[in-house]
Amino acid sequence: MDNDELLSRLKEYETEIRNLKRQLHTKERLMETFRLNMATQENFYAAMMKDKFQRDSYILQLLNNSPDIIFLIDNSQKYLLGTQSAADFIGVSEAAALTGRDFTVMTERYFPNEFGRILLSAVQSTLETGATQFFNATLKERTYDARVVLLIDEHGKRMGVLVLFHDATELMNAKSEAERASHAKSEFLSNMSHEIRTPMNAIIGMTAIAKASDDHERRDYCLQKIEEASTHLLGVINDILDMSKIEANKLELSFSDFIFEKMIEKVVDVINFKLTKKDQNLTLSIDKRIPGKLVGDAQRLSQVITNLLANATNFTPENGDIRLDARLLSEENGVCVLQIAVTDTGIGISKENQKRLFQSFQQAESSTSRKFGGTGLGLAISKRIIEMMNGKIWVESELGQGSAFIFNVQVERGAENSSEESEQKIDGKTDDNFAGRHVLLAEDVDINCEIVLAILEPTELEIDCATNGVEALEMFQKSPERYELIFMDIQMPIMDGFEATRRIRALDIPRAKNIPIIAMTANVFREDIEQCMEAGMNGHVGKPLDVEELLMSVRKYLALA
Amino acid sequence: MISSITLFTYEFDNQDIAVNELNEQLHGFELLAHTVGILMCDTEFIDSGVYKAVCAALPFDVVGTTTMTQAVDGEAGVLMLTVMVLTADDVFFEVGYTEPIPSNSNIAEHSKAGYESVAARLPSGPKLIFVFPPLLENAGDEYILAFESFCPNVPIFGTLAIDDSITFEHCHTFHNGEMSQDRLAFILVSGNVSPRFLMGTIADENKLPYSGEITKSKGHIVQEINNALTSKYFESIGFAKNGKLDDGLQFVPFLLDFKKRADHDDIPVVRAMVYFDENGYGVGRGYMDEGSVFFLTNPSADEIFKSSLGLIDRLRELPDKQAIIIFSCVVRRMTFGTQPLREAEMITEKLSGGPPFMFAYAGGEFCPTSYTDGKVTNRFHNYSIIACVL
Repeated sequence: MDNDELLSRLKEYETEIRNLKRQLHTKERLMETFRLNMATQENFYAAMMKDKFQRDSYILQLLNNSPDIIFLIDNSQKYLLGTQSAADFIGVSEAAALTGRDFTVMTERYFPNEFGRILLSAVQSTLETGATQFFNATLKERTYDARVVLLIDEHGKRMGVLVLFHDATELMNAKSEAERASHAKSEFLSNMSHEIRTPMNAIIGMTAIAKASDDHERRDYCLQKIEEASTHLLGVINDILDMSKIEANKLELSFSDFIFEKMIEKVVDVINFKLTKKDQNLTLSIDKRIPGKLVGDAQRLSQVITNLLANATNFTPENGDIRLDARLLSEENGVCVLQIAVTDTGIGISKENQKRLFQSFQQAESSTSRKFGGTGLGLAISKRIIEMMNGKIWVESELGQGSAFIFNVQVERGAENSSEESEQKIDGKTDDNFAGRHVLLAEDVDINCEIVLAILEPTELEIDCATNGVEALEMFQKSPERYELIFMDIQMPIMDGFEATRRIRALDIPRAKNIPIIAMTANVFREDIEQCMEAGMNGHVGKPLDVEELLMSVRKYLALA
Repeated sequence: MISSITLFTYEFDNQDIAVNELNEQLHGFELLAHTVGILMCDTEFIDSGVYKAVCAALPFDVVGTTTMTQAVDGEAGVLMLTVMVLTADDVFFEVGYTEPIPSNSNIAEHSKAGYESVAARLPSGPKLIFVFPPLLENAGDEYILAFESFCPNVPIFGTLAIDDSITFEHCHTFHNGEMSQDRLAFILVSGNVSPRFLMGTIADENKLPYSGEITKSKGHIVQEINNALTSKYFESIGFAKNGKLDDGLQFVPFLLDFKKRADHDDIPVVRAMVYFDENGYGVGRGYMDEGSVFFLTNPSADEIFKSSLGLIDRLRELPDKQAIIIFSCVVRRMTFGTQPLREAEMITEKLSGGPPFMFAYAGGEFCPTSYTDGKVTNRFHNYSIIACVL
């Protein structure tokens, strides 16, 4: 072989080698591409599986913690899966134990009754028609809202059904309770309307009769009736207000010293006319060990006892007997536990009705209010008051055998020299003559002004009237030394009582700082009284005016002046 | 009006044979007042000197890049050199080659002088820019930003250089016989030209249930996804264990929605993430803005083929085609596995006999997502197939 041939052959081989290298390179590249593709697919597979496991886990937790009974049935009516609640409902311990079982056989075994028949029918109907089935079912004293829904895949192909039972028992009970309460409230409103209209009718009627009559006796009779009706009406209004405070959680106790026996005396005084009217006998038994002086809310305590006694007189026939017992159960570290019982020989209360007695808007029977009157709030209010005194109230009674309403309360032993005593000293004064002394009354309502003037007329107090806060301020500013006391209404036009008080106190006059200013207002909640004090007032007299309370206020502050 | 012809040769060894083949194909084709050639070839043609010989033999400017599988009328193959020749009397072509651009440097700074000197030769402002950037560490978006700063509102079409390896270490750009791994080649076109653009990419019906918000990024460096370090995010969904790149990461397209961009046009852009750096940050090929929302996808070869088919079908319906230039992302080719010529053969089959066309694979695609009423939204893409129709 010559050189040219060799060179030519060499070139051929070189070309061949280059070609082979290229082919090898191509194959290597191809293999590398495969490897990268495989790596990608492995990654995606790993990610998809991870996501799948995560979702399965979420679904499992969802199923295990769902309160609803949910299970899936496939196209061939086999149980697929369900919540643990479903397993419990069916009556197996493990949800997984039901998977794959024939649903027809399951219903025959676990629900061999009307419920099972309805359920199976709903499942089969939905599988066949695709329509969602709704029905209610009651099983084992629970009420369920049920639905059977068709399941379809992403291509619209039927996969089976979802069965869901939602326990609606609590909702149904709440609805019944709400309906009952609503009904009771409606009855109460109707009752209250009657309770308010009845005395109003008496007031309006008797007023008309009195106006038309020249006969003094007749007029006195009418005024007596008006007074009784007004007092009753006030009681109804107070009951309603107390109840609204309780509902709003605003009922509060006010603690002060009081003499227990005196409190009982006052209660008996109040109830006496009812006893006399029905010729009933009241027996008192007060434990001598009960401390003379106690610390508590005497007003509220007497309200409870008065309510129990009033009920006793109402529900005991004429000539019946009523007994009030007060015992000291225990005393420890100055805290006394008293037990007070009001027992009667009245109509008694059935066991059924006893359950509802202390609930608001309830009387033993709705017919009771029609027969015996009353708002039906007294016992509910009493219960709340007693509970606030860390006590308990209950009834022992049998139909036709009379009743005993008993309660325990905690009160503190009072100190010997308590304010009640000094209060008594003031109270002891009966000679109300304040001739030559001057009082400023700020009141925008003419009739209210007239009432105050009329009540205080016998005392010969000289009363100057202002019709709003601005007038009151001007009158005081003009003659600060003239007045020894200011009665200040709160709600007045132009300037209210709070602002007028603040302005008086802000005056650069020594008398302005210390003149007693007494709020005279229908707002009697604690926060209202506190607001009066914050404005600079010294005391408070509630409307409707209580004559004795008004006089006590006058006596107190004029004595201090 | 533009007239065109596509030349090709498989001869990568013998320069003379290669040049003769191209000359024979060019024979009889009238070159008009202004002519340019877009040359795409395998790296083999560089090593053997065929590329240089071809450039020397052709009587017009030539720019382009290395690539892999290509297709022309009647032919689809791996080792090819193709030249799309564009000629016209009323369209002006000027080619440019920038100074070397250091990787991760400011593209605009290093290409401005080159651009200005070329633009000065045009009788009027450019109406179309072909770009053939080198494959650097920079994000593809930076080339768009650079050219938009030179001449706003002009459509930009082109490809990042690629080669037929997996590591892409031998990617070159071309300019009249020169070649470089760090110089940007480009063509400015002005005159009577109205280009149309088509784009096909990953369908969003292939979305996987892995979605996230890019909560911290700097350009193409994704630092945090859903407030977690990027590598940790991928670990959390089962990818890239131990914070290392699992090779498959670059095959995972991100369907990205630039929610906060001023030029947001509701067209998702597909992005690739190539590797995690030493900080656990993901390094992508293009910008992945903070506030952007993405879905991961896993398209099959069939789905990618379907997107190519869709583009070709739309392209065929366009009227008045004189020249067609198509680039498809190299990762799409890799997805075809044992059928690397599947896409190229389909294009040859569908377009042969019609207007001259050139098809090649790209390392990153430049194509507007909208070009209407003189307003253009230029975008850099990955995993996409793009077409410019003249």
